[in-house]
Amino acid sequence: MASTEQPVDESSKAPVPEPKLARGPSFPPINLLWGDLALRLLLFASTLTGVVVMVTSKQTELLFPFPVTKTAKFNYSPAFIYFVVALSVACLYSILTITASIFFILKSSPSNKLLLLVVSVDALMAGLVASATGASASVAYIGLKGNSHVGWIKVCNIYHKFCRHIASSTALALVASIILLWLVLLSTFSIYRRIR
Amino acid sequence: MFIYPSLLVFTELPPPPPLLLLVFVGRSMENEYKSNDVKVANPKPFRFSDFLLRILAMAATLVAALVMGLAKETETVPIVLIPGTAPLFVPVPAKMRYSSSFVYFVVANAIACAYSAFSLLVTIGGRRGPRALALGITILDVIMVALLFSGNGAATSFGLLGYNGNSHVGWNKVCNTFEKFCRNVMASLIVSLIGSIMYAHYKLQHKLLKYGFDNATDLSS
Repeated sequence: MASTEQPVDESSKAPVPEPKLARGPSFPPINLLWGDLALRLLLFASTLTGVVVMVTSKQTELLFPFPVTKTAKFNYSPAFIYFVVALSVACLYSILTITASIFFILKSSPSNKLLLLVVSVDALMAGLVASATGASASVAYIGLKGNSHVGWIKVCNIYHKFCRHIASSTALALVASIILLWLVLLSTFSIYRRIR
Repeated sequence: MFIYPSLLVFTELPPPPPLLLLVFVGRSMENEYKSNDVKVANPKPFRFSDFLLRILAMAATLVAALVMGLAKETETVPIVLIPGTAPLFVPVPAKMRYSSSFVYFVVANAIACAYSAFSLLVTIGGRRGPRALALGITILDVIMVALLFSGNGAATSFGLLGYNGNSHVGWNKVCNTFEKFCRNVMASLIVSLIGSIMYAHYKLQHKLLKYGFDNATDLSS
Protein backbone atom coordinates (compact mmCIF):
# COMPACT_ATOMS: atom_id res chain seq x y z
CA MET A 1 0.00 0.00 0.00
CA ALA A 2 2.57 2.47 1.09
CA SER A 3 5.00 1.74 -1.73
CA THR A 4 2.36 2.28 -4.39
CA GLU A 5 1.11 5.49 -2.85
CA GLN A 6 4.42 7.16 -2.36
CA PRO A 7 5.44 7.99 -5.98
CA VAL A 8 1.97 9.37 -6.65
CA ASP A 9 2.29 11.54 -3.59
CA GLU A 10 5.64 12.93 -4.63
CA SER A 11 4.74 13.67 -8.22
CA SER A 12 1.27 15.17 -7.69
CA LYS A 13 1.82 17.47 -4.73
CA ALA A 14 5.53 17.90 -4.57
CA PRO A 15 5.58 21.65 -3.92
CA VAL A 16 2.80 21.67 -1.33
CA PRO A 17 3.82 19.10 1.31
CA GLU A 18 7.53 19.88 1.10
CA PRO A 19 7.64 22.26 4.10
CA LYS A 20 5.54 19.80 6.06
CA LEU A 21 7.95 16.97 5.35
CA ALA A 22 10.82 19.19 6.36
CA ARG A 23 9.52 19.10 9.91
CA GLY A 24 9.36 15.32 9.95
CA PRO A 25 11.94 12.97 11.42
CA SER A 26 14.23 13.24 8.39
CA PHE A 27 15.07 16.89 9.00
CA PRO A 28 16.20 17.93 12.46
CA PRO A 29 13.81 20.43 14.04
CA ILE A 30 15.00 23.92 14.68
CA ASN A 31 16.16 24.24 18.25
CA LEU A 32 19.10 26.67 18.55
CA LEU A 33 20.82 24.25 20.91
CA TRP A 34 24.30 25.78 20.85
CA GLY A 35 23.03 29.17 21.91
CA ASP A 36 21.01 27.44 24.61
CA LEU A 37 24.09 25.64 25.91
CA ALA A 38 26.20 28.83 25.87
CA LEU A 39 23.55 30.76 27.80
CA ARG A 40 23.21 27.96 30.33
CA LEU A 41 26.98 27.90 30.89
CA LEU A 42 26.88 31.66 31.46
CA LEU A 43 23.98 31.18 33.86
CA PHE A 44 25.94 28.58 35.79
CA ALA A 45 28.99 30.84 35.99
CA SER A 46 27.05 33.91 37.11
CA THR A 47 24.93 32.15 39.75
CA LEU A 48 27.89 30.27 41.20
CA THR A 49 29.97 33.44 41.36
CA GLY A 50 27.05 35.31 42.90
CA VAL A 51 26.64 32.73 45.66
CA VAL A 52 30.37 32.56 46.38
CA VAL A 53 30.77 36.35 46.49
CA MET A 54 27.76 36.69 48.78
CA VAL A 55 28.88 33.94 51.17
CA THR A 56 32.44 35.28 51.45
CA SER A 57 31.32 38.81 52.29
CA LYS A 58 32.00 38.56 56.03
CA GLN A 59 33.76 41.62 57.43
CA THR A 60 34.80 42.48 60.98
CA GLU A 61 35.41 46.14 61.73
CA LEU A 62 36.81 47.89 64.75
CA LEU A 63 34.46 50.71 65.66
CA PHE A 64 37.13 53.37 66.06
CA PRO A 65 36.55 55.31 69.28
CA PHE A 66 35.53 52.20 71.18
CA PRO A 67 37.49 48.97 71.61
CA VAL A 68 34.63 46.99 70.08
CA THR A 69 34.60 44.88 66.94
CA LYS A 70 31.41 44.34 65.00
CA THR A 71 30.87 41.80 62.27
CA ALA A 72 28.75 42.13 59.15
CA LYS A 73 27.60 38.84 57.65
CA PHE A 74 25.14 37.97 54.96
CA ASN A 75 23.05 35.77 57.26
CA TYR A 76 22.16 38.68 59.49
CA SER A 77 19.52 39.66 56.93
CA PRO A 78 16.72 37.32 55.78
CA ALA A 79 16.78 38.95 52.33
CA PHE A 80 20.40 37.87 51.78
CA ILE A 81 19.63 34.34 53.01
CA TYR A 82 16.79 34.16 50.51
CA PHE A 83 19.17 35.45 47.86
CA VAL A 84 21.72 32.71 48.55
CA VAL A 85 19.08 29.98 48.55
CA ALA A 86 17.47 31.23 45.32
CA LEU A 87 20.79 31.51 43.50
CA SER A 88 21.88 28.08 44.71
CA VAL A 89 18.66 26.60 43.36
CA ALA A 90 19.24 28.37 40.03
CA CYS A 91 22.84 27.09 39.99
CA LEU A 92 21.77 23.46 40.55
CA TYR A 93 19.08 23.86 37.92
CA SER A 94 21.66 25.19 35.46
CA ILE A 95 23.91 22.16 36.07
CA LEU A 96 20.95 19.89 35.41
CA THR A 97 19.97 21.66 32.21
CA ILE A 98 23.57 21.89 30.95
CA THR A 99 23.69 18.09 31.14
CA ALA A 100 20.36 17.87 29.34
CA SER A 101 21.50 20.36 26.71
CA ILE A 102 24.71 18.42 25.98
CA PHE A 103 22.63 15.25 25.74
CA PHE A 104 20.30 16.94 23.27
CA ILE A 105 23.20 18.12 21.12
CA LEU A 106 24.95 14.76 21.07
CA LYS A 107 22.04 12.33 20.92
CA SER A 108 18.68 13.69 19.91
CA SER A 109 16.90 17.00 19.75
CA PRO A 110 14.20 17.57 22.37
CA SER A 111 10.55 16.97 21.63
CA ASN A 112 8.17 19.91 21.79
CA LYS A 113 6.73 18.54 25.01
CA LEU A 114 10.12 18.53 26.72
CA LEU A 115 10.94 21.96 25.34
CA LEU A 116 7.71 23.28 26.84
CA LEU A 117 8.61 21.85 30.22
CA VAL A 118 12.02 23.52 30.01
CA VAL A 119 10.43 26.85 29.02
CA SER A 120 8.03 26.80 31.94
CA VAL A 121 10.67 25.89 34.51
CA ASP A 122 12.95 28.54 33.00
CA ALA A 123 10.21 31.13 33.48
CA LEU A 124 9.76 30.07 37.11
CA MET A 125 13.52 30.31 37.65
CA ALA A 126 13.52 33.77 36.09
CA GLY A 127 10.84 34.81 38.59
CA LEU A 128 12.81 33.32 41.47
CA VAL A 129 16.12 34.96 40.56
CA ALA A 130 14.41 38.29 39.79
CA SER A 131 12.72 38.34 43.19
CA ALA A 132 16.02 37.49 44.89
CA THR A 133 17.66 40.36 43.01
CA GLY A 134 14.93 42.75 44.11
CA ALA A 135 15.09 41.65 47.75
CA SER A 136 18.87 41.90 47.95
CA ALA A 137 19.02 45.19 46.09
CA SER A 138 16.44 46.88 48.31
CA VAL A 139 18.28 45.94 51.52
CA ALA A 140 21.60 46.91 49.95
CA TYR A 141 20.16 50.27 48.96
CA ILE A 142 19.09 50.99 52.52
CA GLY A 143 22.57 49.99 53.65
CA LEU A 144 24.10 52.33 51.10
CA LYS A 145 21.90 55.39 51.57
CA GLY A 146 20.06 54.80 54.83
CA ASN A 147 16.49 55.94 55.31
CA SER A 148 16.09 59.12 57.29
CA HIS A 149 12.29 58.83 57.56
CA VAL A 150 12.40 55.76 59.76
CA GLY A 151 15.83 56.45 61.22
CA TRP A 152 17.78 53.63 59.61
CA ILE A 153 21.39 54.74 59.38
CA LYS A 154 23.60 53.75 56.47
CA VAL A 155 26.23 51.13 57.19
CA CYS A 156 28.26 51.11 54.00
CA ASN A 157 30.59 53.83 55.30
CA ILE A 158 31.74 51.30 57.92
CA TYR A 159 31.66 48.00 56.07
CA HIS A 160 33.30 48.81 52.72
CA LYS A 161 34.25 45.29 51.71
CA PHE A 162 30.90 43.84 52.77
CA CYS A 163 29.01 46.36 50.69
CA ARG A 164 31.24 45.80 47.67
CA HIS A 165 30.55 42.08 47.86
CA ILE A 166 26.80 42.59 48.21
CA ALA A 167 26.72 44.98 45.25
CA SER A 168 28.74 42.62 43.05
CA SER A 169 26.60 39.60 43.82
CA THR A 170 23.40 41.58 43.25
CA ALA A 171 24.71 42.69 39.87
CA LEU A 172 25.56 39.06 39.06
CA ALA A 173 22.03 38.02 40.01
CA LEU A 174 20.67 40.70 37.70
CA VAL A 175 22.81 39.27 34.89
CA ALA A 176 21.53 35.78 35.75
CA SER A 177 17.91 36.87 35.56
CA ILE A 178 18.51 38.55 32.19
CA ILE A 179 20.17 35.33 30.95
CA LEU A 180 17.14 33.36 32.13
CA LEU A 181 14.87 35.74 30.22
CA TRP A 182 16.96 35.17 27.10
CA LEU A 183 16.73 31.41 27.62
CA VAL A 184 12.95 31.59 27.78
CA LEU A 185 12.87 33.72 24.64
CA LEU A 186 15.20 31.34 22.81
CA SER A 187 13.14 28.26 23.63
CA THR A 188 9.88 30.06 22.85
CA PHE A 189 11.31 31.18 19.55
CA SER A 190 12.38 27.65 18.65
CA ILE A 191 8.90 26.32 19.47
CA TYR A 192 7.50 29.15 17.37
CA ARG A 193 9.72 28.20 14.45
CA ARG A 194 8.74 24.56 14.72
CA ILE A 195 5.00 25.11 14.69
CA ARG A 196 4.98 27.88 12.14
CA MET B 1 -2.71 17.83 30.11
CA PHE B 2 -0.02 20.21 31.10
CA ILE B 3 -1.58 22.27 33.87
CA TYR B 4 0.33 24.20 36.43
CA PRO B 5 -0.70 22.34 39.59
CA SER B 6 -1.01 25.10 42.14
CA LEU B 7 -3.47 27.07 40.06
CA LEU B 8 -5.72 24.26 39.02
CA VAL B 9 -8.50 26.22 40.65
CA PHE B 10 -8.57 28.79 37.90
CA THR B 11 -9.17 26.31 35.13
CA GLU B 12 -12.36 25.06 36.74
CA LEU B 13 -14.50 28.08 36.54
CA PRO B 14 -18.00 29.10 37.59
CA PRO B 15 -20.48 29.64 34.74
CA PRO B 16 -19.69 32.91 32.95
CA PRO B 17 -22.15 35.78 32.74
CA PRO B 18 -24.42 35.59 29.66
CA LEU B 19 -22.99 38.57 27.77
CA LEU B 20 -19.43 37.28 27.98
CA LEU B 21 -20.60 33.80 27.07
CA LEU B 22 -22.13 35.15 23.88
CA VAL B 23 -18.80 36.69 22.93
CA PHE B 24 -16.94 33.46 23.57
CA VAL B 25 -19.33 31.27 21.64
CA GLY B 26 -18.94 33.58 18.69
CA ARG B 27 -15.19 33.52 18.99
CA SER B 28 -14.87 29.79 19.27
CA MET B 29 -17.11 29.17 16.27
CA GLU B 30 -15.08 31.57 14.22
CA ASN B 31 -11.94 29.83 15.33
CA GLU B 32 -13.17 26.41 14.33
CA TYR B 33 -14.15 27.70 10.94
CA LYS B 34 -10.73 29.21 10.50
CA SER B 35 -8.99 26.07 11.62
CA ASN B 36 -10.23 24.17 8.55
CA ASP B 37 -8.00 26.23 6.29
CA VAL B 38 -4.77 25.96 8.22
CA LYS B 39 -5.15 22.27 9.13
CA VAL B 40 -4.75 22.55 12.84
CA ALA B 41 -4.70 19.05 14.25
CA ASN B 42 -6.44 19.87 17.50
CA PRO B 43 -7.96 23.35 17.40
CA LYS B 44 -8.34 25.03 20.74
CA PRO B 45 -11.18 27.51 20.92
CA PHE B 46 -10.67 30.72 22.75
CA ARG B 47 -10.37 29.75 26.39
CA PHE B 48 -12.51 31.43 28.94
CA SER B 49 -9.95 30.68 31.64
CA ASP B 50 -7.26 32.60 29.74
CA PHE B 51 -9.50 35.62 29.39
CA LEU B 52 -10.51 35.53 33.04
CA LEU B 53 -6.92 35.05 34.15
CA ARG B 54 -5.82 38.18 32.29
CA ILE B 55 -8.64 40.23 33.76
CA LEU B 56 -7.87 38.91 37.25
CA ALA B 57 -4.16 39.64 36.83
CA MET B 58 -5.01 43.16 35.69
CA ALA B 59 -7.33 43.67 38.67
CA ALA B 60 -4.80 42.25 41.12
CA THR B 61 -1.94 44.46 39.93
CA LEU B 62 -4.24 47.51 39.86
CA VAL B 63 -5.45 46.88 43.41
CA ALA B 64 -1.91 46.26 44.62
CA ALA B 65 -0.63 49.49 43.07
CA LEU B 66 -3.56 51.52 44.43
CA VAL B 67 -3.45 50.10 47.95
CA MET B 68 0.28 50.64 48.18
CA GLY B 69 0.18 54.05 46.54
CA LEU B 70 -2.59 55.36 48.77
CA ALA B 71 -1.25 53.88 52.00
CA LYS B 72 -0.55 56.77 54.33
CA GLU B 73 -0.64 57.13 58.07
CA THR B 74 0.30 59.91 60.46
CA GLU B 75 1.08 58.97 64.03
CA THR B 76 2.09 61.16 66.95
CA VAL B 77 5.33 59.80 68.29
CA PRO B 78 6.89 60.82 71.59
CA ILE B 79 10.41 62.12 71.01
CA VAL B 80 12.70 62.90 73.91
CA LEU B 81 14.90 65.81 72.87
CA ILE B 82 16.61 66.49 76.17
CA PRO B 83 16.94 63.60 78.63
CA GLY B 84 15.02 64.24 81.82
CA THR B 85 12.39 66.51 80.32
CA ALA B 86 8.93 65.51 79.17
CA PRO B 87 8.80 63.93 75.71
CA LEU B 88 7.70 66.00 72.75
CA PHE B 89 4.76 64.63 70.75
CA VAL B 90 5.49 65.05 67.07
CA PRO B 91 3.23 63.91 64.22
CA VAL B 92 5.26 61.63 61.94
CA PRO B 93 3.82 60.58 58.59
CA ALA B 94 4.49 57.22 56.94
CA LYS B 95 4.14 57.25 53.17
CA MET B 96 4.90 54.94 50.32
CA ARG B 97 7.13 57.60 48.75
CA TYR B 98 9.65 57.48 51.59
CA SER B 99 10.93 54.11 50.43
CA SER B 100 12.46 53.60 47.02
CA SER B 101 11.53 49.90 47.11
CA PHE B 102 7.85 50.72 47.51
CA VAL B 103 8.05 53.25 44.69
CA TYR B 104 9.59 50.59 42.46
CA PHE B 105 6.85 48.17 43.52
CA VAL B 106 4.08 50.61 42.60
CA VAL B 107 5.67 51.44 39.24
CA ALA B 108 6.16 47.75 38.40
CA ASN B 109 2.55 46.96 39.25
CA ALA B 110 1.26 49.92 37.27
CA ILE B 111 3.28 48.87 34.22
CA ALA B 112 2.03 45.29 34.53
CA CYS B 113 -1.55 46.52 34.83
CA ALA B 114 -1.27 48.72 31.75
CA TYR B 115 0.37 45.93 29.80
CA SER B 116 -2.36 43.53 30.91
CA ALA B 117 -5.05 45.82 29.51
CA PHE B 118 -3.08 46.18 26.28
CA SER B 119 -2.56 42.43 25.88
CA LEU B 120 -6.24 41.79 26.62
CA LEU B 121 -7.15 44.07 23.74
CA VAL B 122 -4.60 42.41 21.49
CA THR B 123 -5.68 38.87 22.30
CA ILE B 124 -9.34 39.68 21.80
CA GLY B 125 -9.06 42.05 18.89
CA GLY B 126 -6.13 40.66 16.98
CA ARG B 127 -7.22 37.06 16.66
CA ARG B 128 -6.69 37.05 12.93
CA GLY B 129 -3.25 38.56 13.21
CA PRO B 130 -0.06 36.71 12.42
CA ARG B 131 1.27 34.27 14.95
CA ALA B 132 4.27 36.57 15.38
CA LEU B 133 1.88 38.68 17.44
CA ALA B 134 1.44 35.74 19.81
CA LEU B 135 5.22 35.42 19.99
CA GLY B 136 5.53 39.11 20.92
CA ILE B 137 2.87 38.75 23.61
CA THR B 138 4.67 35.71 25.00
CA ILE B 139 7.97 37.57 25.19
CA LEU B 140 6.39 40.56 26.93
CA ASP B 141 4.65 38.20 29.35
CA VAL B 142 7.99 36.79 30.49
CA ILE B 143 9.40 40.27 30.96
CA MET B 144 6.35 41.19 33.04
CA VAL B 145 6.83 38.08 35.18
CA ALA B 146 10.42 39.12 35.91
CA LEU B 147 9.42 42.75 36.57
CA LEU B 148 6.59 41.84 38.94
CA PHE B 149 8.64 39.29 40.84
CA SER B 150 11.55 41.67 41.31
CA GLY B 151 9.19 44.39 42.54
CA ASN B 152 7.62 41.91 44.94
CA GLY B 153 11.00 40.81 46.23
CA ALA B 154 12.15 44.39 46.81
CA ALA B 155 8.97 45.50 48.59
CA THR B 156 8.74 42.31 50.65
CA SER B 157 12.28 42.60 51.94
CA PHE B 158 11.70 46.25 52.83
CA GLY B 159 8.43 45.37 54.54
CA LEU B 160 10.15 42.59 56.47
CA LEU B 161 12.74 45.08 57.68
CA GLY B 162 9.95 47.35 58.87
CA TYR B 163 8.19 44.45 60.54
CA ASN B 164 11.15 42.87 62.30
CA GLY B 165 13.87 45.47 62.20
CA ASN B 166 17.50 44.42 62.10
CA SER B 167 19.31 44.45 65.42
CA HIS B 168 22.74 43.85 63.88
CA VAL B 169 22.90 47.22 62.17
CA GLY B 170 20.55 49.04 64.53
CA TRP B 171 17.53 49.43 62.28
CA ASN B 172 14.48 49.60 64.52
CA LYS B 173 11.16 48.13 63.51
CA VAL B 174 8.46 50.64 62.67
CA CYS B 175 5.39 48.44 62.34
CA ASN B 176 4.57 48.72 66.04
CA THR B 177 4.00 52.43 65.44
CA PHE B 178 2.46 52.46 61.97
CA GLU B 179 0.08 49.53 62.23
CA LYS B 180 -2.41 50.56 59.60
CA PHE B 181 0.30 51.42 57.10
CA CYS B 182 1.97 48.06 57.60
CA ARG B 183 -1.34 46.23 57.22
CA ASN B 184 -1.98 48.04 53.94
CA VAL B 185 1.50 47.21 52.69
CA MET B 186 1.06 43.55 53.60
CA ALA B 187 -2.31 43.34 51.84
CA SER B 188 -0.83 45.00 48.78
CA LEU B 189 2.11 42.57 48.73
CA ILE B 190 -0.16 39.54 48.97
CA VAL B 191 -2.44 40.78 46.20
CA SER B 192 0.53 41.56 43.96
CA LEU B 193 2.02 38.13 44.61
CA ILE B 194 -1.25 36.53 43.54
CA GLY B 195 -1.22 38.70 40.42
CA SER B 196 2.34 37.76 39.51
CA ILE B 197 1.62 34.05 40.02
CA MET B 198 -1.29 34.51 37.62
CA TYR B 199 1.11 36.02 35.12
CA ALA B 200 3.49 33.08 35.48
CA HIS B 201 0.56 30.72 35.10
CA TYR B 202 -0.66 32.55 32.04
CA LYS B 203 2.82 32.30 30.61
CA LEU B 204 2.60 28.54 30.92
CA GLN B 205 -0.90 28.36 29.51
CA HIS B 206 -0.24 30.57 26.54
CA LYS B 207 -1.95 29.83 23.29
CA LEU B 208 1.27 29.52 21.35
CA LEU B 209 2.75 27.05 23.80
CA LYS B 210 -0.57 25.24 24.04
CA TYR B 211 -0.56 24.85 20.31
CA GLY B 212 2.96 23.51 20.36
CA PHE B 213 1.99 21.04 23.05
CA ASP B 214 -1.07 19.79 21.25
CA ASN B 215 0.88 19.22 18.06
CA ALA B 216 3.93 17.80 19.79
CA THR B 217 3.30 14.25 18.70
CA ASP B 218 2.75 15.29 15.09
CA LEU B 219 6.01 17.15 14.74
CA SER B 220 8.63 15.41 16.80
CA SER B 221 7.94 11.69 16.69
